[in-house]
Amino acid sequence: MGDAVIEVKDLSFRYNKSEEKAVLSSLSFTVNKGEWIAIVGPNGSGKSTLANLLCGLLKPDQGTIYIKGKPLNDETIWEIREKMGVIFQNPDHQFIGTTVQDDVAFSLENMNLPYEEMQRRVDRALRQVGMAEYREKDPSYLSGGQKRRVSIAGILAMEPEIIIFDEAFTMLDPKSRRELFSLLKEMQASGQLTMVSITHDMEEAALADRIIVLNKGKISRIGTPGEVFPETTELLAPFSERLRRLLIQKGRRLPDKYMTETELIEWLWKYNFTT
Amino acid sequence: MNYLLLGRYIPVTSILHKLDPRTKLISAVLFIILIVNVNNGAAFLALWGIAFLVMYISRIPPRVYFRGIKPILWFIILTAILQMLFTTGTKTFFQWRMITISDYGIERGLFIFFRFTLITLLSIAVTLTTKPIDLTDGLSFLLKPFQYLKVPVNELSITLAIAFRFIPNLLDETQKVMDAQRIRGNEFGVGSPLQQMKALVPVFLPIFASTLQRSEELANVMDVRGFRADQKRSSFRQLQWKKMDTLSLCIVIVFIIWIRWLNIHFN
Amino acid sequence: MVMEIQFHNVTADYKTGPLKKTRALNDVTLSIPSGDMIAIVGQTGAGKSSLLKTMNGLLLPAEGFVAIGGMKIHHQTDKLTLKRVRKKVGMVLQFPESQLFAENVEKDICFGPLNYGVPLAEARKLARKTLQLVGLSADILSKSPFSLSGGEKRRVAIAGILALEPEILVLDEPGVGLDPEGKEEIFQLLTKLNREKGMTILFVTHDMNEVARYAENVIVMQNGRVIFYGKKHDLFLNQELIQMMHLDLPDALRFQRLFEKKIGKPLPKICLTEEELADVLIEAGYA
Repeated sequence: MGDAVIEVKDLSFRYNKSEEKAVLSSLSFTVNKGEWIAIVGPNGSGKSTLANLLCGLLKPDQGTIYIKGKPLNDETIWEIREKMGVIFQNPDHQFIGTTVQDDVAFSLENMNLPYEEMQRRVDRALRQVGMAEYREKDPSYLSGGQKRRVSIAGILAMEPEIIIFDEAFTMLDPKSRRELFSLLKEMQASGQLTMVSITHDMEEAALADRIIVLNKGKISRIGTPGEVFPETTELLAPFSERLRRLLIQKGRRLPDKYMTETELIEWLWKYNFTT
Repeated sequence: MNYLLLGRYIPVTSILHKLDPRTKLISAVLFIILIVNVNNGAAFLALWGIAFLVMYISRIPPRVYFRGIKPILWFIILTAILQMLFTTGTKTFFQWRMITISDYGIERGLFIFFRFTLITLLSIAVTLTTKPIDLTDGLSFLLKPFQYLKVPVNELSITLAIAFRFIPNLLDETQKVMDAQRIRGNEFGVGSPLQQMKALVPVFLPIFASTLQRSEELANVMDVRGFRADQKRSSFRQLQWKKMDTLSLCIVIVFIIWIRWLNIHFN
Repeated sequence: MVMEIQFHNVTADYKTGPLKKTRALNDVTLSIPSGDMIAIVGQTGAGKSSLLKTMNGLLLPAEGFVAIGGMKIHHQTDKLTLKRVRKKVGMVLQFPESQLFAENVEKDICFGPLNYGVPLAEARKLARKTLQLVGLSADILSKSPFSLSGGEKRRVAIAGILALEPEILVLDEPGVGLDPEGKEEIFQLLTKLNREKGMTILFVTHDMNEVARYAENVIVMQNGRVIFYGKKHDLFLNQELIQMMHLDLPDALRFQRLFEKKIGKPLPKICLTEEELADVLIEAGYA
């Protein structure tokens, strides 16, 4: 357990304290260092509440969230926030700076870093997300995908250990989304970054190491994409899973397990040889 | 609605645009002090010359400047007329009870008119050529001494910066809400003033709602990105004082001395 | 009544600053027959929203004109004609739910009809009818629109436009930001309006799966011009155009292309949905 970066223990929350119904009840799970975890669930499952609890915008009624072994509370929150980046849903509502580079530097100014250090970090973060040439631009004139890249640069500049994506890609078109996912994969490759995706997009969840399925404020399942996907509803399943189910429905015999697109292509190709 | 856009930053390349905001702010303040104290025709003539020079070197057409005066033009004219009607002088052209039109009154009225228009023109020159964010940086730098008087200069400047940042958003939002209501048959600018006011009522609610929602989202973003009002922050935006600024300030001072001299000499 | 939409050399600008104008539409000539279901695609800033706005008179042409069933929109069309146009061409803006403002759903939906002089009793009937049309129950009429879920809010907002009983419906990214169920519900609704009521529907989207699944024809735009207007299959067959316009492919076709690369030859026909793909794969003996 020494590797646990996020530890959620017996977490409960309700918005209206007089009401019986809890939004989240007795949630417990662990996220390890370098792991990418996706938290999925339908509307009203409590996943956005969980996101707000994880970044300290809400306080739990019961239970504790430990970040790198420290309980998340009023005393530790600012120290934790220097190591934890959060990206919210609407890219238009998140810019504080009037230019791309000013916005990326915002967290660094809050950390009271010296000017040269900020220059260096802003520069590197913008190059990493491929937005260096836009540094002087007004972020509101960028495309949706570019705006997201700027937000990610703002987080990377902090050199964080944890990033939380709260429905961060749902407003984008599929192409920009796929491009950003490969950026995320790159970021995760170092093994130093722990990522939490809160999403209803299964293509995003498919990239995670593990998926937590929330339902009515409770964890209904934790597992790898391969373990979780065969049980999801049709609308929520990723493309390769939908195609696999459709082929089975049409009387074909395919493996009874989730396959990624690459695996499915491979399987279909080989099937051609065997017949 | 368009009045709000007047005096908004216009991105063109000019010497005035390139100057440090502090230079422009200091110069504007010096000129304003000067204008308030000037009281003869020669000095006003010179000031008008400078005003046109400023417009010329800003590379923004004078009509943009004069459009900026328009919303307050009636106020200026009214003040000037009142000044004219209630001042007595050596020669009286007309008199009826309290009201007199005299040589001195006409002069005073004209000077008042010039003062207001000149001050407005020079202030607009600053806002047209300086990005709001640079203006905020300049202001907070110049206000720094007031920190010792417990004025929360840092909080003020970030508040101002965010306010400036969101003015265009608010305007866009208003446009969007009005469009959304035109689509549903609500007409603006048609009918009696009462009808026009009534048409605007349903516009305010969505704007308030979205502004509230947005500020909440923004507060959350600021929070998770580690902003604390009471903590010391460094600044990524650095003001750069260049040779050109020193030179410009010198020119401004020379002009000011010259006009002071004109003002005394021709009195 | 036949409501054809015709663009005759339409050029339009929008203000981007105190002194600046940007060309939004550049010499667009287009004829859209009644009853079509069209997706409009193209990159950010290509003029997709502007195309919709000119049909509704929110953006007036600087040159040329748009003719819709006998009404003409040009640079000096009077407000009365515009108001008539807006009743025939219903427009749903992006995130229309942010425009809900009345204290309850009924009042919000009635807002449009009342502006057009429909008597209150009649408007209330319309509210019920359109709410049913968008698949929501009449119980929510008295509820505050703010208490509804994201997908429900959007459908209420669309009901507010449908209550004007338009014959043409234009929508700016109707599915954006909704979860898969919410999206599906919106497009089911659009399909129903198109098929059962014969409504002409144009929607802007960035998602080629929506094009593949729900549109019949596609308009592709770039720099204010219409580059392509035709059947969706023809568009996706045209690989050159797809590449030039940086357009994405629907998931099924993207998968098909990857698969063809693997097997080294093309499948007999192009597939835009997983149903088509499954059938073709079976037919060709790959599954």
